[in-house]
Amino acid sequence: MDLAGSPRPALTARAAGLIGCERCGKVAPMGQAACGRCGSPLNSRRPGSLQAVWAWLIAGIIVYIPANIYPMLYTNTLTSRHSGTIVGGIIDLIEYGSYFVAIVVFVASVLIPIGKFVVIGYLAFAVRARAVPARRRRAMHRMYEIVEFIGRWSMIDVFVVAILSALVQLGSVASIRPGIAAACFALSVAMTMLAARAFDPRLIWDLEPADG
Amino acid sequence: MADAGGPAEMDVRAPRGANGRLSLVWLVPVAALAISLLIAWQTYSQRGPLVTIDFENAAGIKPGETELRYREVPVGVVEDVTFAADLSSVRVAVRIDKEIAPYLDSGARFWVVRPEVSTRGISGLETVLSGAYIEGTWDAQIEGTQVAFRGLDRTPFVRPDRDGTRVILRSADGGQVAAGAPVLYRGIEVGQIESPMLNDDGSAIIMNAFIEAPHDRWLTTATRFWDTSGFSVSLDSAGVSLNIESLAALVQGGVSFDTVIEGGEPVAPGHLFDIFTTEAAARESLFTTDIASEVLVTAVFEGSASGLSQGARVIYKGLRVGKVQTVTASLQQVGQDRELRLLAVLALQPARLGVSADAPPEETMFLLQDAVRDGLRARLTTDNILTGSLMVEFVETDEWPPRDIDMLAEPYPRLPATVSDVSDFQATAAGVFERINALPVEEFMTNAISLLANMDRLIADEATQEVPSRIVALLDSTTNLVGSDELTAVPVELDGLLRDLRGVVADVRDGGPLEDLTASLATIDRITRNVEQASVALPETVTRVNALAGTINDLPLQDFLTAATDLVTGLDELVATEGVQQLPASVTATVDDLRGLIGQASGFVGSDALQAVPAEVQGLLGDLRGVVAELREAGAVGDVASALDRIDRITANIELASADLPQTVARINALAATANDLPLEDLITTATELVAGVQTLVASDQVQALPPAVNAALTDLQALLQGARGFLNSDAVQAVPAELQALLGDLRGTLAEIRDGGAVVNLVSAIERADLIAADLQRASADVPGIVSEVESLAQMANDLPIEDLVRAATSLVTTAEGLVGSEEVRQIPPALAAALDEIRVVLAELRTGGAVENVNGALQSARSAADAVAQATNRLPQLSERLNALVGTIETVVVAYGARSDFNSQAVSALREIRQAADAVESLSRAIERNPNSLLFGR
Repeated sequence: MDLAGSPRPALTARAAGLIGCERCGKVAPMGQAACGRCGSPLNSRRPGSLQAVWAWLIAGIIVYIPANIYPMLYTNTLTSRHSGTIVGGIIDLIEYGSYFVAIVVFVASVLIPIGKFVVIGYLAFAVRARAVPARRRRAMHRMYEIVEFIGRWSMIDVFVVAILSALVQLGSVASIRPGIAAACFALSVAMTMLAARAFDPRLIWDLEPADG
Repeated sequence: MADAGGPAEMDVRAPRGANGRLSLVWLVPVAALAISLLIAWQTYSQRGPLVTIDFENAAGIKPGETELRYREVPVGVVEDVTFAADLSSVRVAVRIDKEIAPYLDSGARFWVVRPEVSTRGISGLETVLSGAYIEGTWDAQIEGTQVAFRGLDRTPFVRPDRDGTRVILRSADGGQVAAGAPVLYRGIEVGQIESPMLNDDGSAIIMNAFIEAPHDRWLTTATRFWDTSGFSVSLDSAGVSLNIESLAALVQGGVSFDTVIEGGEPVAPGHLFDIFTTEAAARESLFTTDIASEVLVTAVFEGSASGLSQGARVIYKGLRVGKVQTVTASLQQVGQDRELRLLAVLALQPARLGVSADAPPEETMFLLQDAVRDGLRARLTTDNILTGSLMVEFVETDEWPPRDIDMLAEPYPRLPATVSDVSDFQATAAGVFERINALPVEEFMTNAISLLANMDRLIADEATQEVPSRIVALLDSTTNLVGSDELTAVPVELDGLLRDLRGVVADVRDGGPLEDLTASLATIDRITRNVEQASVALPETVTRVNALAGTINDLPLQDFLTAATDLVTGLDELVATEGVQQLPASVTATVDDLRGLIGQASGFVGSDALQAVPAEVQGLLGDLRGVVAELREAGAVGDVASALDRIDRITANIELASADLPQTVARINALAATANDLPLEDLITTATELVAGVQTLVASDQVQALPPAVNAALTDLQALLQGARGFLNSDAVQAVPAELQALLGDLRGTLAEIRDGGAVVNLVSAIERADLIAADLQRASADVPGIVSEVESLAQMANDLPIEDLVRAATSLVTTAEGLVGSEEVRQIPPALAAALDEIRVVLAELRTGGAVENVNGALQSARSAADAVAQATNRLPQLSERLNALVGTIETVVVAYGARSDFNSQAVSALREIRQAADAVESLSRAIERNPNSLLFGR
C-alpha cells in the first residue's frame, strides 16, 4: 500500500464498489453485510468511528486531569513522607539533577499523553474536512501509526508505580503506595489507546479529491 | 464468477444510520467525567479548614510533610509556611481534618515537638528521624471554633488537657526553681512548676504550678508551699542530717506543699500562694496570714525590752500560739507615779490554743481568763541567746496569786505579766572574751616552748639518763656505809683515841723544858715570817674580799630586805598571835625553873662536902708538884729538850711548808675573785622571792598554828626542869660531893703511890721514846710541803670549779625551792612540824615520867664506882706507865709508817685525788643542775 511515491491517487475499495474485510482482507461487493470468509461484519467505513474517537478522547482527557492533580506516589520512609504528582516528581528529579530520568518521565508521562490527545483530536477533526492534499494525507497516516504504536509505552509510568509499590514495602522503614493519580493515569492511557483504535484510518482515504 | 459456484449470496443490508445517532461509546467519557468529579468532590468534601498557627520559628516544619497530631494521631498537615504580616512570627497553615476542626477553639494549644533533653528525661526522641511535628491539644467541647492560633514556644510541661488545678506561686527569688521543677506533696511528685517569670513590677517571681487531679484536692487556703530545692544540711543534737527531697529537686529545684492546719477552703484555679524558704517558715506563716481570727491582748513589761521586736514569737508550753503585733511605750500608773512601760500587743491564734478558728473571740478570752486565774502570766524571755532577741512566753505556776485579765484595758485586754527571764548572754560572753583576751597567752606560750625545749635537752642528755642509776648506786653505797660495822665502831674508837691523845698530850706537856721552847719559838718566828710573806698577798685578798663585799653590797638586798621585812612582818603577825604571846610566859616559867635549879645547884656547891674538895685538890696538886720535881731530877727534862729539838725541826718543816702559803693565798685570792664574780644578785633575787614564799608560808594557817605547839613544848620543858630540880634535891645528888671528896682522896693516894713507885722512871723512858717519836715526826713533816701543794692544787681545783654555774644552778634551785615553798606540799609542812613538836613534847613528857632522872642518878653512881675503879687502877699505875711506854712505842712505829712514801702518805695523796675527782663530779653535777634546776626537785 505504499502510495507515497505515486502521484496518482489510488483506487479505493469504496470507489471500486467493494468492501474489504478488516479482519481477513477479503473483498466483498458493496452491500454485503458480513465477510463470506471470516464472518466479520463488513463496513466500507466503520460507522460511528469518529463518535467513538471523540468519546474515548474526551474521557481520556477527563481522567488525565486528576492524574496530574492527585499524587502519583506516596513515599514513606523513616525520615519523611512524600507524596508526588507527576509534574512534581519531574521537578524533583530536575532539582536532584537527574535530568535524563526527568526527561524520560516527562516524555512518557506528559509529552506522549498530551501529544496523543492532540494528534487524535487533530485526526478526528481533520477527517471531517474534504479534499486534503495527498501529502497531508500521508502525514496523517504516519501520525496515526505513530500514535497507535506509541500508545502502549505511555503505560511505562504506571508500570514503574506498580513495580515500586509491589517491591518497596519495607514496613516503617520505607514504603511506596500508588496514589489515585496512578489509576487515573492508567485509565487515561487506556482511553487514548481505545480512542486511537476507534479511529478508522480509511476515513483519511476519503479525503482524496473525487476526481474520477 | 457464477461458473465458479456463483458468487456468494450478497448480504446487503441498508447501512445503519450510524452517523445520525449517538453512539453508546459516549457513555465512557460521561463515566470518566463522573468518576473524576466524584474524586474531586470526595477530596473536597473530606478536606477540612485551613487554620494558621503562628510560631516563633519554623524549625523542622516542612510544608506538605509536617503533621499536626492530636494525641499522637495525625489530624492535619502543614500546607504552607509563611510569615506574618509584620514578619514577627512564622505563620504555618495547617489543613485540619474536617472532623477535628470544630474542636479547635480558643483553648487549643499548639507546639512543635522536637527532640528535647532535660533533667526530667528525653522527649520527642522519635522526631529525630521522622522530623518535627506539631502537637496540638484542645478540649472536647465544640464551641467558638477559630482558625488562627498562636503556637507555644516550647513544649508545655503539663499537657493542657490534664486534669488538675493550676495555681500561681510567688517567690522572692526564682533562682532555686527551674521550669519543670516538681511539686511535691509529702515527697510524691504531684505536679510541676511551669516557667517562672518576673511579675509586672519585677519585685517577685511568679510561676504557674500545675497540681494533678487526684492531688489538687489537698490544695486549700491553709496550704503552704515551701522551697525544697537542693539539699539541706542540719546539725542538731541528733547529729548531722542531709536532706534531699528528690534528685530532680536537687537539680531543678522544687517546691513542696502541705496543709498545715485543718479548716482551709478549697481554692479556685489561679489562687496565689507564696513560696516560703523553709518548711518551718511555711508552717510559721500561718500566724502571719490568718488575721481574721486573731485575738489581740496586751501585756505590759517592766524593764528594757530591747530585743523584743514586732513579729516576735509568743509561745505557750513551747508551742507558738501567736506573735507580737506591735511594741509601744505606754504611760502606766504605778502607785503614785506614772512610769513609761513597754506595752506589747500580742496577736494570738485561737486555733493554736485549741479553740476553733470559727469560734467567737469571747471563747478564746474565756479560756485565757481561766488560765490566768490558774496562774498564767506573760513574761519576756530570751528567744535567741546569740542575737539577744526576745519573745513572750506564757508561763503558769501555782505560786502566783490568781489574777484576772483586765478586760477593760485599752486598747486590748491586758494579761498580767511577771518578771522577765532575760539572760544577757552577750554581756557575759563579752566579759569572758575580754578575760581570755587579757590572758598572757603569748608569754605563757613562749615560756612553755622554752620549758619544753629545756626539758627536751635535759631528757636527751646522757648525764641525765645516768643520774637515776648513779643515785641508786649512791644510795646503795650510803646504806652499806652507814650499816657497816666499822662506822658503828667509830664512836667507840674515837672515844678511845681521845682518851689516848689526852694522855699523850699530858705526857708532852710534862716533859717540855724552856730552852727548847725558845728554839721552837724561833722556828715559829720564821713560820710567822712566812705567814707574813703570805700576808703580803693579803691586801689583794682583802681588796677582793672588799670587792666581794661591794658586790654583796650591790646586791638587791633592798628587795631581799623588803621581802625579809615582809617576812618579819609576817613573823610579827605570827608573834602577835595568841600562841606566841603565851610563849614568854612559858619561857619565863622555864627561866624561873632554871633559876631555881641554879639556886639549888648553888646550894649544892655551897655544901660542906664540896667546900672540902678544893683542899683535896690542893693536896692533889701538891702531890703532882712532887711528881714533877721527881721528874726533873730524873733527867726527864733533857729528854724533853731533845724532843723539843725535834719539834724545832718539825716546825722547820712546817716553815718550809708555809713558804708555799703565799701561793695558796693567791689561789684563795682567785677563789675570792671568782666568788666575787658569782651571780649572787640572781641568787639574792631568787632568795628574795624565796623569802617572799616563806613569808606566804609563814602567813599560812598552819604556821600560825605552830606557836601553840611551841608553847606546849616549852611547858613540857618546864616540867622537865622541875623534874631536874627534883633530881638535884634528891639524896643521891646530895651524896655526890662526899663521893667526889672520897674520889679525890683516892687520887691523892694514887699519886703518892706513883711517887713512891717507879712510875717516874718509866715516864722518863717514855719521854725518851717521845723524842724518838718527834724524830719520826720530823721526817714525816718533810712531806708536809707536798701536802700543802696538794692543798694548793685543791684550792686551784676549787678555784676552777664552776661555782658560777653552781650558783646559777643554786639560783634556779632556789627558784624551784620558791615554787616548792609555794606548793601545796610545803604548805603542809607546818602541820607536820606541829606534829613533830607534838612528838617532841611527848618525848619530853616521857623523859619526865620515864625515870630519866633515876637513870642519871644511876649513872652518877656508876661514875662513883668508876672512880673507885680508877682508884684501884692507880694502884697499878706503874703498870700503866709501862703500858704507856709500850703505847708510845707503837705510836713511834705508827709515825715511822707515816714517813715519806708511807702508806698513809700515798693514801692521803689518793684521798686528795679523789677529792679532786669529787670536785669534777660536783662540776658536772652543777652543769647538770644548771641545765635543769628542777631536776633536783623532781628527781630527774
